[in-house]
Amino acid sequence: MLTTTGKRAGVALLSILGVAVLTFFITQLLPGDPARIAAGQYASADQVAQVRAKYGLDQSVPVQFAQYMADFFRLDLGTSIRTDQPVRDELTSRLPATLELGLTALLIAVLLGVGLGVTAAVHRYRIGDRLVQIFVVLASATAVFWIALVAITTLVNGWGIFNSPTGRLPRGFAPPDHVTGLYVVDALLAGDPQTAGAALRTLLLPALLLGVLASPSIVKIVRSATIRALESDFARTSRSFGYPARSILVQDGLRNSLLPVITNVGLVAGFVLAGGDVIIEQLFAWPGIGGYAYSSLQENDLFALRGYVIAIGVAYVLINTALEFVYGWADPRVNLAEGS
Amino acid sequence: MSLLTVRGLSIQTRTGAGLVRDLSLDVREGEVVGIVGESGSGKTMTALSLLGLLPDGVHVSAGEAELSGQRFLDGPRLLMRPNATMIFQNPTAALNPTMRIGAQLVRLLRFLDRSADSNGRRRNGDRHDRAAALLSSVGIDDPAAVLGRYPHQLSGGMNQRVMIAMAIAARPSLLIADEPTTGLDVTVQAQILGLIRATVAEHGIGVLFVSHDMGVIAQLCQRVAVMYDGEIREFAGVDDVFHRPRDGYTRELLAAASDQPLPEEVADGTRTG
Repeated sequence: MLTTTGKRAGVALLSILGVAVLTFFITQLLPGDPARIAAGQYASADQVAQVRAKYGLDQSVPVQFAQYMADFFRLDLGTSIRTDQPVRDELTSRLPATLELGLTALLIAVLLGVGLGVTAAVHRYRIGDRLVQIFVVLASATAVFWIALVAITTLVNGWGIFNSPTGRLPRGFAPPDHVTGLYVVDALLAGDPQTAGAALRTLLLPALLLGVLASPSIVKIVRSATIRALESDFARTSRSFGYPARSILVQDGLRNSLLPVITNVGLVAGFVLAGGDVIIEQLFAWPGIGGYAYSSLQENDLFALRGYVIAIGVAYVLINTALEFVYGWADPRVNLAEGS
Repeated sequence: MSLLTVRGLSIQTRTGAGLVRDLSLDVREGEVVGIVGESGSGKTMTALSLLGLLPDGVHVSAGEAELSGQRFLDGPRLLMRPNATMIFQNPTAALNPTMRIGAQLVRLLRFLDRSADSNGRRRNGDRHDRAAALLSSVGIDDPAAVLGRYPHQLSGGMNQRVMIAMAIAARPSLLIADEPTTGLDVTVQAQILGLIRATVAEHGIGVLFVSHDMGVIAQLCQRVAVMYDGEIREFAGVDDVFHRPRDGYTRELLAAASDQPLPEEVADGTRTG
């Protein structure tokens, strides 16, 4: 087990290194000249050259790359051109906001995905299944930015169910003492249910939107995996003994459809943390790393963008490495020691 | 005395195609009755229908059945459980891949305890011991080790023994066996057949044994029903069917079995035709 853990950790570190290298070369391909934009619209050629020299962008690509990797190994992600702050500090201070939103959305996506998927599998080829299929089509075909605006107009401005999309807390509330960085949890720890409630009412709408939009792939996988398990030979054995339907659904159906679900959760985590999150954070003025990436991209802030991509890459590698250990627990046929 | 009586059983698909037509047979106590036929003859569907295990889109359209004198009219399920149990082809797939053998046996014993009497709430530790005893009774030498294994860590023959242990644990009066030795190698096949025979002798239960293998049928069964295209062509004692077949199809089947003896049949010495 120890050597397995060591091997997994090694693979994870190599993946992160690969992410760093790829990030450098892909950001090289971005159109536009960061120095030109940073220097301003009316800057002279001299001023642009000055800015270029300041950030080391006048060096050749190999030299820039060597400098970049050297900084990377010292966990230094450079300085943002836009804000003139160290990128690493900006990302770490914004990470808890993204984690709070992303993890809540992931939880909603998994609960919704497993619930609807199992419902569809139990009512397969009947009306319940059809309704779930319609939900899947609608949720996969809906654009994040459109449904988010509609939701803000109706649920916030119209009916006032959720708080306004102006960050993590409505006006008049002070952030709770920093413990976990998750406002709802921190407020509860500080014994301030009012702030916790306000934070939850602010958090829930973007999290629901992200979760619902991320759920279709989980619904589809849970449905097909559960149907396969319920129609399997071992489920038939259970029925031959006359076990109750619920026991068959849980022990034969769900238990055996876990593996593909876990794989998919890794992918959905990517969407929730990086894909849909950037747009949602921008629309809800959520002070996380997705909104940071959006602003950085608009101003062609090379170092901030690199930092963001690396942070997401690291998160993705960590999530998937953790999931590989969950596989072994979910399915005894997966033997980590023998696997690739 | 007749244990199982099936009369006029018909099985249809949703589109109305008949898979089994007007099938009647009976099994006596302590008797092994075979159903033999080629793939697609409806023998497995017949077996599955008795326990209500037909796949989606296939249903019993007519027929009735009686087990130990109790009558069960047409419906999705002909026989009550768990007084009839079943063992299957491909035993490894018939066991839950994510549960240890011990957990699967304990799950069954807990279910049986609950349906037997409500005040008999026994502890799981006790059930674990009973599970080990069950495995010993089907000739597993090291039950403690097997209880801790997953099905994929055991051989097909071992898994079939576990299935038989589970089927016996329910104390059924009828055991339905659907090609239980197909896919197992010859020595294991002989052991499993021996185990089924011993079970019949010990518990006095009836067995409905579905197979395509004439050799196995001849070895094990007292009477045999020859099925073709959803109908029983001949239902008689094994000696009569093998030595004095009255039906043309039975003769063809026997000729086919003896023309091209499969290597394992010869090695096993079970071929009779």
